[in-house]
Amino acid sequence: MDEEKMSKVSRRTFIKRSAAGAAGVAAVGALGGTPAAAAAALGSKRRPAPQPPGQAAAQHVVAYVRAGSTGQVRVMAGDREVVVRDRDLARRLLRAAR
Amino acid sequence: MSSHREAPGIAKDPVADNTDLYAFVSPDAPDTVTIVANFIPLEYPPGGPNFFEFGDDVTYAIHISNDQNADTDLLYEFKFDTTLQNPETFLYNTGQILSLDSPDWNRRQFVTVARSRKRSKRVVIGSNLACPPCNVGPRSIPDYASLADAAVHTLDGGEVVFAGQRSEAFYVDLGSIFDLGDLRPFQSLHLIPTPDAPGVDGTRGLSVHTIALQVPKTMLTVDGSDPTDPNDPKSVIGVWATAGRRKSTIRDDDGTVIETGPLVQVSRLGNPLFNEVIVPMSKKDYWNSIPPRMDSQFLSYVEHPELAGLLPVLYPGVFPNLAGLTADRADLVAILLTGIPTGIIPGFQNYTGATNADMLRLNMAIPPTADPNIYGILGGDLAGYPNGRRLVDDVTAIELRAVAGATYPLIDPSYTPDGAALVITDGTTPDSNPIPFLSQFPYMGLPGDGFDTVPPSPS
Repeated sequence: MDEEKMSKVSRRTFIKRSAAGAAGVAAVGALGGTPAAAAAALGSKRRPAPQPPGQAAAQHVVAYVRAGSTGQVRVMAGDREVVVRDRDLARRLLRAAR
Repeated sequence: MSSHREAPGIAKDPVADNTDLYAFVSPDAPDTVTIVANFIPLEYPPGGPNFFEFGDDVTYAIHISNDQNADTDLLYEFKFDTTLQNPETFLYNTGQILSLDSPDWNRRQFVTVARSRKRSKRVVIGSNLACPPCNVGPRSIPDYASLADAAVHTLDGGEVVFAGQRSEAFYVDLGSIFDLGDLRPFQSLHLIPTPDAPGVDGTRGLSVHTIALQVPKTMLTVDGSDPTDPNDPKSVIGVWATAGRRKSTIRDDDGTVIETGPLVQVSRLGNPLFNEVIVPMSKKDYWNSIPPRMDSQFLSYVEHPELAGLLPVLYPGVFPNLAGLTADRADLVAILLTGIPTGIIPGFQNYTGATNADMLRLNMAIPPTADPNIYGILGGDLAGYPNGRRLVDDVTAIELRAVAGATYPLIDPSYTPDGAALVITDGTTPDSNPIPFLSQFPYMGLPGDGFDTVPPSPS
């Protein structure tokens, strides 16, 4: 099910989307982030409309490397998760965790 | 316990724990359907100073499927926002709460409601609607009923919504069921016999947090029509409720909690007792995380429920016909996973297609009953469970009887149910709880107050 929700994007695409998502969080107001959830629940393949570039550094970002993962980094920001396939990035995160 | 603490994971997260789901044609407004989704199990009314409340970090949702495919076609989402009037006090209220904007009510909660439909935009239909306080006690809240009435909100789209504390509607003898199924009215027949005694309502006097939604029927049908023909597939909706949390939680050094990522479903409820009684413990958390359309993987547990094997063992000689019933339980599959097709029960169907999916199925063309039978369809009342679920319905007895074989003749008329299958009960009724249901929306009874609630007596 997770795989259905996630996008498999390049690192470059992720960086673009990451910036776009920052403004998206503020735009959804009291029901922060639920358009994506609603779209998922309703079975829509569409993503929420892209938002203009914002302050990516102003929001918390969580990167998650699953045990045994080979080059896949899951990055969460606001209400979104993107999957980055980048062996070098994953390797550096794992090295930092030692 | 219907769905209170029914899975190991959600038992540790009561704020997101969906305890019961009801869906019925509103008895006093039969052109509407009322859906009640309850959360936070076993609230003990004196439980201050931090009284019970919805989670600001939880997204609560009610899903409706109306086109025979077990997918969400109509979605209502509820998000809460909690505010402090006075950050310098430890008190819930610093004086009497006489109105929903009372300056002496310190910790207040508001709900925002959004509606989404397939192929159309999500719309916020109510913003920052006031919720009532918990029922602290008569000194703090001298007129709780009026205060709570003010938290019933009519929305622009025609829906009516209420979110707040209410008296638990589900009645059940918890102590007997979980003590090796020693149903109190039949203790003398148990494998470890004791003298028979009346049932004890284990949730009596306790509260839950209710999200109640009343929706015009014409907003629920796939084409906007008014459902008047019980045989029309468009008259049937499937309903389930969920709670979701953000995928990532960080507990930072300064005590703050940071939650990011997409929503992950942590609780789900359609038919009462499905996850609790049908699904094995090792799979309950997983079941809570998936949508109903993925329930085919649980088909074997419905076809051969563990409880059907236990009853003849726990009550020796009482269920001989059930003990010999080894066929797939197509009756339970129909009740729980597909709905009952046309031709099984005269004048009734609530079939939602071939997809195996645990949903509460309501045929909206069946009018409400003036004098409901608590055994629902088993009691000859087509307006009761498993046609939706009303607050009065004795779903524990109905499901016990169904599992015990009472409904198997629907698909095999040659089968004779055991006599006990037709009368088995846990000995509780709606009257086991002295707090009455209301005759109007939100129907759930007023919560017991903290000052006057007496704690249970230990044995």
